[in-house]
Amino acid sequence: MFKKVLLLSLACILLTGCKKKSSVPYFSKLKSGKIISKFIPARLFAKETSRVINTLSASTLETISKQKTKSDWNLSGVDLGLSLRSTVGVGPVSVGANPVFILYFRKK
Amino acid sequence: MKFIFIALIVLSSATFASTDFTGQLPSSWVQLPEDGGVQSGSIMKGGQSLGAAAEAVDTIFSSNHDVLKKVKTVEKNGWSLTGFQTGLYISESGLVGLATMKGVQGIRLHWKRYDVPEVKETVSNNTIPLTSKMTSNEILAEIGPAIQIALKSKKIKVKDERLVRAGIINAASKYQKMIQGIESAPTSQWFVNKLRFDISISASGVVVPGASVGAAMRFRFEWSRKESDLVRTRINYKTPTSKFVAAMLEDVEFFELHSKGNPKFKLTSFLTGISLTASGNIALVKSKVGVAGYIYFARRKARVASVPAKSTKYSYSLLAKSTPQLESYANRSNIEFAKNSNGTTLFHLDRDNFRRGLLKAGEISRFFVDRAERSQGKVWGINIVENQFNLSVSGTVGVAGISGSSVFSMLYKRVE
Repeated sequence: MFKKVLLLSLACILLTGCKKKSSVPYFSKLKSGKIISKFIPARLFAKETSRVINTLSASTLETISKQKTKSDWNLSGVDLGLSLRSTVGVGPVSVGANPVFILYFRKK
Repeated sequence: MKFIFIALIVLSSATFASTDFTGQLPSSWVQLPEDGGVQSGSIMKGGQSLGAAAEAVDTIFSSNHDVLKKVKTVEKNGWSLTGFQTGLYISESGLVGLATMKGVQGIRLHWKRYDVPEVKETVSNNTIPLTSKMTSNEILAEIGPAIQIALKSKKIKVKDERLVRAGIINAASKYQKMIQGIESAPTSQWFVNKLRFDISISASGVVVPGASVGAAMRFRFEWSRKESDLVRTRINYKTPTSKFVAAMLEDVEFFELHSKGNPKFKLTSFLTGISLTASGNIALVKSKVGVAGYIYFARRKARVASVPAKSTKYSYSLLAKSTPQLESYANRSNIEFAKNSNGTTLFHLDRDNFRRGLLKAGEISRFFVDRAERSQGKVWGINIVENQFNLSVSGTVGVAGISGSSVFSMLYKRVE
């Protein structure tokens, strides 16, 4: 029994060590105004964020590439802000609407 | 006995997770002396390790890079995704992270795509150009239509709209004097390349320099020049602006002489928030309250042999919102100050402490720049690291916290 618990504790130490390197810290504000620090698995963060960026990027490029060029105004750049949003206490972060990422689209 | 041993192991694993997991920057990096932080000088407390904080920053930078590696870089009719800006937030206690809330980014990273040529930005966003030679009519021609719309829509309610125009011309003329001062100020390896400032109008038509909270309208003016615009002009050391600029150039040269940078990133520009005192002098600002505008300094690409004449006796003033705590700290630290009638206080900055503050800012920047250097890939890489700081009445600096404000920035650009 003792050995099992010892092994379990060691595994726990190793797991927290691994988690440390693969989690992204972020801040959230509670309704009380208190700022708390939380974590999201780095893989999930990269997967979800890149998925949203790719979707937004495709639709943005689709729209701006259709702009008319015969006008006094020539659009040369578009900046798009993305933010992280989370429900305090549960679940991963999803990309929604305070800019943590700003995307710059430019024309050659 | 066995139970105690097991409990100790479990407890130690939990502690290990909570201390290392949340890498913390030294409190002296974030907290200013007037807020209980360490006085200027050495920025590290004895034996303090940055290992855990470095790991946390590395994780954030590499996760940003992982996101970018998964982003598709397609081109459509000449349009493509050419760059990204990401940021890092720092809590008041020195924790680092991303944020799901509004706040000030302590560090901003500009990511560049290496497989496409860089697109030069030509237009500043939402600014009105202003030069030292523009007449009142020329200034009014730029802003007249916007004022007319505001008056018609009752956004601004005034009995005599001429007063609003006169107020704007009066504020703009003060800035024009500042521009004249910059144009006749000395230059060195560094020069002032931009001045950006706001003029706000309240709903009752009162014109105030700076970005006033709750203003009905705000105009953002900008004066800028390129390195090629620098011509041999007669230098006038006597105007308040040229004295301020000369002192700043001297201090940045001191900084370059005494700070250790990363060879792959170079300090290419810095900017500071400023305010105009009643006597027409330029003052630095402690927070965004009272900021009239920002003055930008840039490094010249061409090597310049001569250095400006020294004006070592110049001392900066720092404008801050009057609080009993600040005044109490200033009294305890023998810092001279003068209270204004508008709820602000002007503190006399110790020049040596300010220089030490610059070196501290350099050390903090170096920490983030070193981490940024590692996040370079074949397609995406960090091109600019922008470090944001607060200024202390003691002259030192602190990295901008998530719920604070930033009034001083240092931009490090990757050497091509």
